[in-house]
Amino acid sequence: MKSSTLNLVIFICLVILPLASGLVFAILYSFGLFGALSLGFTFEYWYKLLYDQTVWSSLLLSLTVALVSICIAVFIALMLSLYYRDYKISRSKIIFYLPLILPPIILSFWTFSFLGNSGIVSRICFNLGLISDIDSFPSLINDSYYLGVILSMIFSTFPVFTLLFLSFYESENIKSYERLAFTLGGTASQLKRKVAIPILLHRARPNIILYFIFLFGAFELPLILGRQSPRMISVLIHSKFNKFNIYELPEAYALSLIYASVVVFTIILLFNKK
Amino acid sequence: MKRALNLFLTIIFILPFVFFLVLSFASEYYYPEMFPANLTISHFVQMIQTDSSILECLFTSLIISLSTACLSTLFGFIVSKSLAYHSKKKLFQMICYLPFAFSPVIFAYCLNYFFNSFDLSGNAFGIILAQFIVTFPFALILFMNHWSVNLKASEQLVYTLGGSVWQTYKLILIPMSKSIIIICFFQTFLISWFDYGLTSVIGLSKVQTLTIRMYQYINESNIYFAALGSCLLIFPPIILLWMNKNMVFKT
Amino acid sequence: MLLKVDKIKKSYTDELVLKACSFELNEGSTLSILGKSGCGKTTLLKIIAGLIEDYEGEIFLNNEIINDWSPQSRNIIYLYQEPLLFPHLNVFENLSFGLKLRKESDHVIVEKTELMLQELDLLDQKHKMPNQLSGGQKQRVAFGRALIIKPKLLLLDEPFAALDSETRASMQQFYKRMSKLHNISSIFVTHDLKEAVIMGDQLALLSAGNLNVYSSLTEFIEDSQTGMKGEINFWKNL
Repeated sequence: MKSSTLNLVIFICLVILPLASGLVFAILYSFGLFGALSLGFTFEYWYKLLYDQTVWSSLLLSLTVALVSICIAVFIALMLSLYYRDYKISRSKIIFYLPLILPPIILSFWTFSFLGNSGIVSRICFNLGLISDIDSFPSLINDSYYLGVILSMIFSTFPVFTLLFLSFYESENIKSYERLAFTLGGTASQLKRKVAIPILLHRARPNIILYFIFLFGAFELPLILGRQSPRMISVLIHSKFNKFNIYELPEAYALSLIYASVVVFTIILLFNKK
Repeated sequence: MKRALNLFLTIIFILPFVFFLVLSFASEYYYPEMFPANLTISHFVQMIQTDSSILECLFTSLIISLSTACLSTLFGFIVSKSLAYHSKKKLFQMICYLPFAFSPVIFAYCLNYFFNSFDLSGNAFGIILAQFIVTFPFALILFMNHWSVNLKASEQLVYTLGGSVWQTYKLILIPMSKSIIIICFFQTFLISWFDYGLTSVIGLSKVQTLTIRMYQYINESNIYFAALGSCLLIFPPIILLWMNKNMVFKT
Repeated sequence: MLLKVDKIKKSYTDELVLKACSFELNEGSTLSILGKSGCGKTTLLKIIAGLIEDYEGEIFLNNEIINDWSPQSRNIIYLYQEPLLFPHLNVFENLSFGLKLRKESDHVIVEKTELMLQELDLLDQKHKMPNQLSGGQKQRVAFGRALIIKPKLLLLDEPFAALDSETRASMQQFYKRMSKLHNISSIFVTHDLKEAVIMGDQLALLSAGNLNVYSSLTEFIEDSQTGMKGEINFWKNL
């Protein structure tokens, strides 16, 4: 066998096969064609799932949290990178890498320790006399607005995009476009709004979409910092798989498929636009 | 203004690391005190002495992550070459993004049946394989962008100069790809090192890695040991960052 | 006769890139093939070098059919437009690369490489890394790296295209000199009319997959497809 054919076989076995078998298994299970309680082909689990309010609120919540986080993170990153572009910040740039080495589970612990009721911010507020006791500190962990989760996501995402934008600023030679616009009579703010920002956003679009998918399916952060209801999609699926009631398993697989279709659709969209 | 902004960012980025370090030495950190009343090395002593010590988790994590990184870098380097020079490169790239973009925990649940069937659940080998299924496509994405017209031409040149396939890899392709191989190794190491979702589902919590233990500490509100675990988890990436920032994140 | 190419046909998907190309090459001579980009020049050279499979027709080297030979065993070297010096090796290591592949002894490697460095006029550059060399120097090292292993045939795919006109002219002279010195047999592919005439003992035109080999320079000039007549008239009418 030629080495290129062998490599293709390895690719099929180790990438396509697990992916396809996982999805096919989920499809079979969700239609009642597989599993301990399999009764043959049925739409029952899908009907149940599609009429379940918690599923829709979970999807909506996941989309909102991911969208709000990515928008704010990209906005902060744009502002920072445009602010830093004129400075040689190679030395201070290293600090932007620090949040990237915090795995989600540690990030959750940090948010908990920083913003929780007994966290650092609460202690500072107490010592400054802003709150009278631990319970009067506004809860940012397991709160109804998912603020703890969103803030953690922003904290871990904006440094990534700041670094990306700074590197695109160099690689796309944006400075020379700005100079050109300046000679054409553009003002400083126009250079930012009409030249730098559109180029940066256009160049970073695939990264933004990819990060959106990551945040949409985030697990550890909402598991530790989120609420019991509604839950973000990964946590909801996790809880359905972990219930003792095995009747919920087909629904869990169906929900996984809904999540998977969002991811697949976005990736296909991303590649077609590319 | 620039100084103030720099200082602010430095503080918010460094604060978690300082906090974890201090808390891992603390024994009494009561509300509303800003700083712990006592500093002690007792957690570290306990870490070394206890039977199912956190140190064991550290070794398990190290073995799993090193194996995953080695396998995915090796296979990724070799397999990606054929994919990158294939006419369907774009399709392959798109497929590679899928396992990587899926939430690991959901992907793990969809694969769990097969892992159970082949007796791969609840052991380190199963976790390595599961993580490999995610890190291998990631390695492929990295390497597929690396193979270029020039590299292919260099490879063909070596063949016409009389070099065998092995000589071409050893003398030209590997040395010319050294930096991306190192970056791939460390980035796949980090993906595996940071993973909680896949490990918890496939490992059935029987295989105690650092992230699994961290989750238990957080659940038990054992903040001192959670801080200690955080320090251990962050230590390897800090070393990598110190060596070369590209190893953590390649812009 | 060193090389005989007999009715080579090659197509990619639906497009026929080479349509039954045939020619012969004598030892020690250079065949210049003139052709625009995308006319199939690179494909033809890569087929001869053994780097492309799945084609029709036959290739003979010293009267032996070599279609099934691997690129390693043909001793035919294909040189690209880019010098492709290995960036992690210095000039000396790049030059001696082929000898190292053949597991020659250290003293033979040093002896042959030093001699080649002298011929290339690069003795004082031998410890430099490729990125410290000029375009012309890089191209000279690339030639030396091929010549040092005494190939039966050199295939040159627009080797001077990336150079500025001055360096290009001096490299043409350099190659003519080296080619005589080492009695090199080569196929030189270019899109530059003047270069084709300067470099080739024999001239050919590859156009839309058809290869036309001319028996003399006059025949080459007479064929309106080569553009030579137009060029001569342009200078005459100035």
